[in-house]
Amino acid sequence: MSIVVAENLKKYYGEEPNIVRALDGVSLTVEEGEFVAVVGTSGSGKSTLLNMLGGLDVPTSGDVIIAGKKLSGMDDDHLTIFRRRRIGFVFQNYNLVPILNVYENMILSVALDGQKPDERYMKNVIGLLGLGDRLNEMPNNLSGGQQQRVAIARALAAQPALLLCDEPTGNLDSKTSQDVLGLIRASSSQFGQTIIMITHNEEIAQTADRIIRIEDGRITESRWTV
Amino acid sequence: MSGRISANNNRLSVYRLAVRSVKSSRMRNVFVVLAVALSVSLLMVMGLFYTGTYTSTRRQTDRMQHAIYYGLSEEQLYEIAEDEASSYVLAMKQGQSVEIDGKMLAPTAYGQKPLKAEDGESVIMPELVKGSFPEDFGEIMLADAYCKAAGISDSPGEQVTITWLDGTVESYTVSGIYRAEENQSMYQVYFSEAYAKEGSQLKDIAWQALVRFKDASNMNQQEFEDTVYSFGEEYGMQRKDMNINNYFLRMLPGGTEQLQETLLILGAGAGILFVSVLVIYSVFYLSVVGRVRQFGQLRAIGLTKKQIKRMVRAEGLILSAGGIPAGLIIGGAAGYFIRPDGWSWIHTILVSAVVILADIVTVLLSIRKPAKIASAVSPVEAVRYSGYEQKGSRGRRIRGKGRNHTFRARKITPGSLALMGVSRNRKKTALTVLSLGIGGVLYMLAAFWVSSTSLEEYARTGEYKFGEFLVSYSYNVVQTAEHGEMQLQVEHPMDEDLTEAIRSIDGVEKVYDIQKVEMQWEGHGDGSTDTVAPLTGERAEKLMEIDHQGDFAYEDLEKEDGLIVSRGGTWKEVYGWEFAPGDQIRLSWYDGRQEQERSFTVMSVIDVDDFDVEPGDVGTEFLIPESVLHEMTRGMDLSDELVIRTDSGKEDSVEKALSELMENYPYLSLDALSDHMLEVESMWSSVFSIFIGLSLFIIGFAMLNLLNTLITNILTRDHEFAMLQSVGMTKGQLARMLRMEGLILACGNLLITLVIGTVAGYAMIEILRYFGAEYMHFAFPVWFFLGYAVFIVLVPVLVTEYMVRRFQRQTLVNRLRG
Repeated sequence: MSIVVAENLKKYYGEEPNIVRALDGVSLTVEEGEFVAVVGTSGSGKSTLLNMLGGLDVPTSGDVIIAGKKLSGMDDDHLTIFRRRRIGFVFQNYNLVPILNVYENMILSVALDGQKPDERYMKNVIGLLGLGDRLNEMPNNLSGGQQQRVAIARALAAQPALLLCDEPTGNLDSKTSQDVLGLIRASSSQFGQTIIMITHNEEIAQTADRIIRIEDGRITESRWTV
Repeated sequence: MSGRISANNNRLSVYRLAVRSVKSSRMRNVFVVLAVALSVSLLMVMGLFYTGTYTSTRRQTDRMQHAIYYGLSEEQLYEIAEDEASSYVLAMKQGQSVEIDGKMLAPTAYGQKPLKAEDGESVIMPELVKGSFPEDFGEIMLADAYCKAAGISDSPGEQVTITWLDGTVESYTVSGIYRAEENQSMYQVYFSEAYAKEGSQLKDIAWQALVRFKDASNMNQQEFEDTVYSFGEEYGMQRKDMNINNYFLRMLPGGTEQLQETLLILGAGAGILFVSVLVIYSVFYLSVVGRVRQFGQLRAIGLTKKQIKRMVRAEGLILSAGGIPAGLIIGGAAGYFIRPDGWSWIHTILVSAVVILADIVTVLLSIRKPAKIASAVSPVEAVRYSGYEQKGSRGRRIRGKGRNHTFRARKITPGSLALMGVSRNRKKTALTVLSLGIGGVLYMLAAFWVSSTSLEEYARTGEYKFGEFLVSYSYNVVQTAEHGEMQLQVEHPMDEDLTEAIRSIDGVEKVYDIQKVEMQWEGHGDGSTDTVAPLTGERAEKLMEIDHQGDFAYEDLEKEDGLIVSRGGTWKEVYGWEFAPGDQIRLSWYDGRQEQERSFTVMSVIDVDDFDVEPGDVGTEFLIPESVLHEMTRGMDLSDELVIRTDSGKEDSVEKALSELMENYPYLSLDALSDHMLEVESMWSSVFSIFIGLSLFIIGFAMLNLLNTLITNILTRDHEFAMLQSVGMTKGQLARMLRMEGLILACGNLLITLVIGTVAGYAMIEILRYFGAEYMHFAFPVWFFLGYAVFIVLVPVLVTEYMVRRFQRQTLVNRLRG
């Protein structure tokens, strides 16, 4: 079953003749449980695509359908609620909330939904990410790798169907990058989630089920890895 | 170029950075400029008000007499004018007033020209609205307010007929109209010099001289008093005929009032500067905290701590350069409008210079700490800086993967997030709430002043303390009776029939019958007419308990013709001496048949301030045992005045009934508290408007601080909010969180305003009462506080609404990129 469908997505900035085509007719389908790596040079449109898929940005034209729901038809609040229930984000710069401790950051999206976190599930996630002894810490006392683990835990907390990762290892050293990547893979397979991840790192991309290459706002390659 | 590598020869670069920084943060600039402008304008207004009052008083006293001498003959007038000590002499006459429809009219005349006017000296004359001063015998000048009250057309050429106290009916032509306050109980009717000499109302009246002395402005208070009195004595005048202009006297050095005023102004100035420091500090603190990363980068690329400090200081000074001129203009304009008659360019320039200096020091003081914080940022820490002070704390325990994890899991709702938001930097929050609170407390003080001042009680001086209506012998009738008021007391006593008729009016609760008589007295070589009241044995015992000189026994007073004098400040001022126990006083009075005389011995002198307990106390100079007084007046009814206390809801109907009743008693007159209140209200309204103006300034300060805190708080956390929104916080939740943050600050402010403001208000009123403002009673200013509370609560709600809408202009992605 397709969890993500993008149909002829376009995102243009400015006006002719200085128009910038960040995305120029991207169509894409991702199946449930798939791990897709999106690669491309800087400014190719990778992040723009991810933001469109996550409902953080609105396309100039085209549609995004996540788990059978069309995002373009939703108003801002419905989109936000849909996002916090069905989509998990992992950003390159972690984006943790400085006034909340590690645990509070993790359960933020669940709490904002007025729900209580599934404690059994959260224990699993905390154990998997090795954050058990850091739960009380404030984000600014953590290393980059630790912060990214918290961000992953936060993305997983609502048990989303789709995990969108924007260069999650971009700020990490290679050893930590491998660890984090391993954790994302492990959690996705354990919890049955679909992952779309932007990366510059070919080595990391090779670990995905499929690699999509974007250049100048268009998909130039989509291939399955062995 | 400097030879040393370590030298920083780059002041200009740092300045340029500061300019760039100033240009990049428009919102912060607006707040700092506004704060500086407000502080400068407030100080300017205060400074100009003080100097303006001084200048205006000086200007007025420059055109005022230094003293008035009474009872002069025409020859004496010329002698005074020829005396070298005087620099200005104007002759004047004031005749017997008459009461017409509740307004007193006093016939007055000035000499056509001053008898002496050196170096263009003059005194303030009535302000002409229309026409000219009277020159011909039959011309008069009337007050505009009197014309309005009496229904007379205020146009020159109008014919007016006045029936004077002696029954003379004369018609005059109005030559001019002068300006006067409305609701006054007395107005002057000005005549020409020709009338003063020959007119029926003034020809038999002695002259007065309005005199100014040479070099009086350079004297101290004692020298001036000596000059005025010795000058009068030289021409054989008695002390009671010399009236010093106290207004001018207080202007001269050597008094305590000036010192008190200066201390008050300095205190208020220091208060304003303190609040300015808090506000500017708070603005800069938030601005610096929001740019910690920027400072880290600057430190990383080579700026020294000193240079960062200099940069922040330069930012402050650049912004002051914007705020100070604006404040000077606003404050200058406000100062001018508050006291246009006291405007002086020299004072304005001096005040401006002091205010500029004070505000620059304030700004430098305010940004000292923020500059230090900025300079202390290390390049590495800057990246991690979140402005969050709190460390992790204890919380509940959960089990995870066979290990025990202790963590703190607070409830996460928009409300709790708001609480965390304001407590992330407790010092900053406390400071903001404190500076808002100070504004609130100052506002409350002004509000307490207004709400606790009982205008009614202020108006209820004298007999109005005991009732709302006074019935007394008509002024006109008393003045025309051969033996004065005593003759009326004999011929038309305020008997039981009258008091019973008043008591029977629906709404009258009590009628106080004040007993006293007017008698002529002689003592210490002076003499005049004053009131004598009967003293009971019971009252005499009570008098022993108040401040008094000389011990007395009631029986001695009765047997040995003893008398008690009430001592006020006026005895000394008017006569230059005071009665003391043992003094002899000769009283003369009309007993209904003939004039009588008798000598009394002063047995005690009581303090007039404490002698204000029962109706009739005020204005009583001498007390004589009632048996003696009754015997002296051959048992006549001593009722002199009736004070009527009414049910507060029925004042109007009582007034109507009393007016009707008074028609049967043409020799009596009725005065109402409500009329007196009008006079008091018009006097206080200007005082209150100054308070309210000051309060608006103070609220402006508090508002500025609140707005700055709210907006800066939101702007500097844009990225954080975008994060929250990206993980699922809806706009509604965000708005609720921000609203709550604002409301927490507002509630803190309201709490301080309410608690400290009330305590301070209470203390202020008690202090003022201690110093004699007994018309003040602690009354919580409910409406002022509610108005303030609504305002303070509404602002965060509106600001949040605006800011959340503002966010929508940018996409979440852009805000996440920060």
